[in-house]
Amino acid sequence: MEQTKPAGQVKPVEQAKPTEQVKPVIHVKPNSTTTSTASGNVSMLPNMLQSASTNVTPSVSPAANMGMQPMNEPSGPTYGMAAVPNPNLAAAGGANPAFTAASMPNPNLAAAGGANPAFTAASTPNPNLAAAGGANPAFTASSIPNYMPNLPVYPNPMPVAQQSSFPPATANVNAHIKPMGTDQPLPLPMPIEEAAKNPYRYYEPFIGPYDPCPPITVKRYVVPINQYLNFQPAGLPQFAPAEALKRGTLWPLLSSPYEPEF
Amino acid sequence: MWIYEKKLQYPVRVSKCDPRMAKFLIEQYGGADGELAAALRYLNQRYSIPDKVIGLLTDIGTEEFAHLEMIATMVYKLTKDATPEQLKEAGLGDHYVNHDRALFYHNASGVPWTAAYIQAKGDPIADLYEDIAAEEKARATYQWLIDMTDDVDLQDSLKFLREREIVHSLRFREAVEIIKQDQQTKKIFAVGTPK
Amino acid sequence: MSLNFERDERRGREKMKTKLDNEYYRRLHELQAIDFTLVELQLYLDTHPQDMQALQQFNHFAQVRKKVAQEFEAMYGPLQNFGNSYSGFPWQWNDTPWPWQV
Repeated sequence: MEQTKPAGQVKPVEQAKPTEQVKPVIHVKPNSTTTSTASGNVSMLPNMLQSASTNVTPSVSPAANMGMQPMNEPSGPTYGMAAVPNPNLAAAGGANPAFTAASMPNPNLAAAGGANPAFTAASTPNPNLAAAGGANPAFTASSIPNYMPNLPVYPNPMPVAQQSSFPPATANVNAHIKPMGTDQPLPLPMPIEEAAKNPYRYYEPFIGPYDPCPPITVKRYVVPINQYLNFQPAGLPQFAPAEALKRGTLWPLLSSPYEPEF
Repeated sequence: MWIYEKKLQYPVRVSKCDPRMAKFLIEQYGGADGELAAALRYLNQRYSIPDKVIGLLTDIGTEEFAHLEMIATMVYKLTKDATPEQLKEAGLGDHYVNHDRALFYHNASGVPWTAAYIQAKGDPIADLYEDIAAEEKARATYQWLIDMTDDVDLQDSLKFLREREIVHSLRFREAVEIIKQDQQTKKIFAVGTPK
Repeated sequence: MSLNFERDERRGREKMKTKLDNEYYRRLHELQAIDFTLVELQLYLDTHPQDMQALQQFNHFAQVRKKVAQEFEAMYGPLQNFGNSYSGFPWQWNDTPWPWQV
């Protein structure tokens, strides 16, 4: 295999050009009092405050939601007893029909005289809320100033119709990615004889304009010969014992000299 | 069972009287990537590693103790004739107050050695890769130690030790290959508890 | 009967000081070179157990080493403890120099 670049130099890898990205749509309604058409993160705040009393489910369009799911709709598969069957139960011949919640009453509850019918959510109001003088009627969506400035609508927003069918199920979304090695050459491994002679690699680090000290323009690191060998082959030539002691190894191929840089 | 041989593995010679170097050399004595850590790591891992590789860990662990002795020799030669004033100038005042001229297992900053520096996961791949990494870290430390001194004789010893780390790293890579291709897997072993 | 301890101490002290001349360093260096070759071959054979040529070299060097170490020990005292080297009288293992003093 031929090496076009001399050993020791590292060619910077060209960055792949990013594909056209679809900008998310953010519609801002500064004075929204209702929550039914709210979209985006901005008006989620008044939504959450009002939902406690009005129980309105905010409907958000999927593209503008930026991936955040509304709180009331569970996403993903439903995890219930039926969805994840217990193999031990199946092996044991199924759930014991006589074994239900009713057949196994809570002894503590029975000892206390049964569930208290008067104990409901309405009968136990929030003491903190009562102490504060009840819910503040002045605290509505419109009373909260809009901290976000008026953001411009990005040019070329994706039409809503296209959002729902994006991407098409059968389209090859990776068509723009070419297989490796077709547009730029792979870094070829250095032949071992060359690697044995050239343990140093050099690169030029990025130098910013505000460095306090005079910059080092070329930095060096070492790649010792053991990176090119997974198994030492048999029958390699050897040093004489005295030379081997000085070099630190019996085999010249494994000898990786080091000299201080400065 | 360990037999001690009353000679160094490599003839250590220090030509420059520079106690400051002793402060740096102690990093390879009681530091995280030093010879003590290496020796104890390998000799401990060999109790739970597959049989094929126990010999290698034993031999490399024993050799690391020989390297520990070499580092101790360098530090000893540099500090044995130093006055307290010279040691203070060399940055070894803290060490002297605690230990006089005795060596101790701590790193260049005085942090004492701890078993937290080593690990034995029981998984041969994890253990051997930790050993490879430890050898590469030791090699790098020797490179920086060589950078710190211009005493040619001391550099010779440090270059010897650095080359040993490279060879050890290669041996551990070979051990990984041996582990990956265990010939015994050709036999069918009965899985589960013996009857 | 006076103790002959002090007389033996004086005799021992003369014997204790090994002369570190060029001959000593030359022999030590030769032994270190052979031992290092053996260490390298030991590690190599740990991962290459089927290499016949290396194994033969190892055994050959082990034989050479035995001879060189024997000559060294005859001149400068035991190298190994726990019976792997013989000792003269008085007990030689305690003699200087120790490796880090050489």
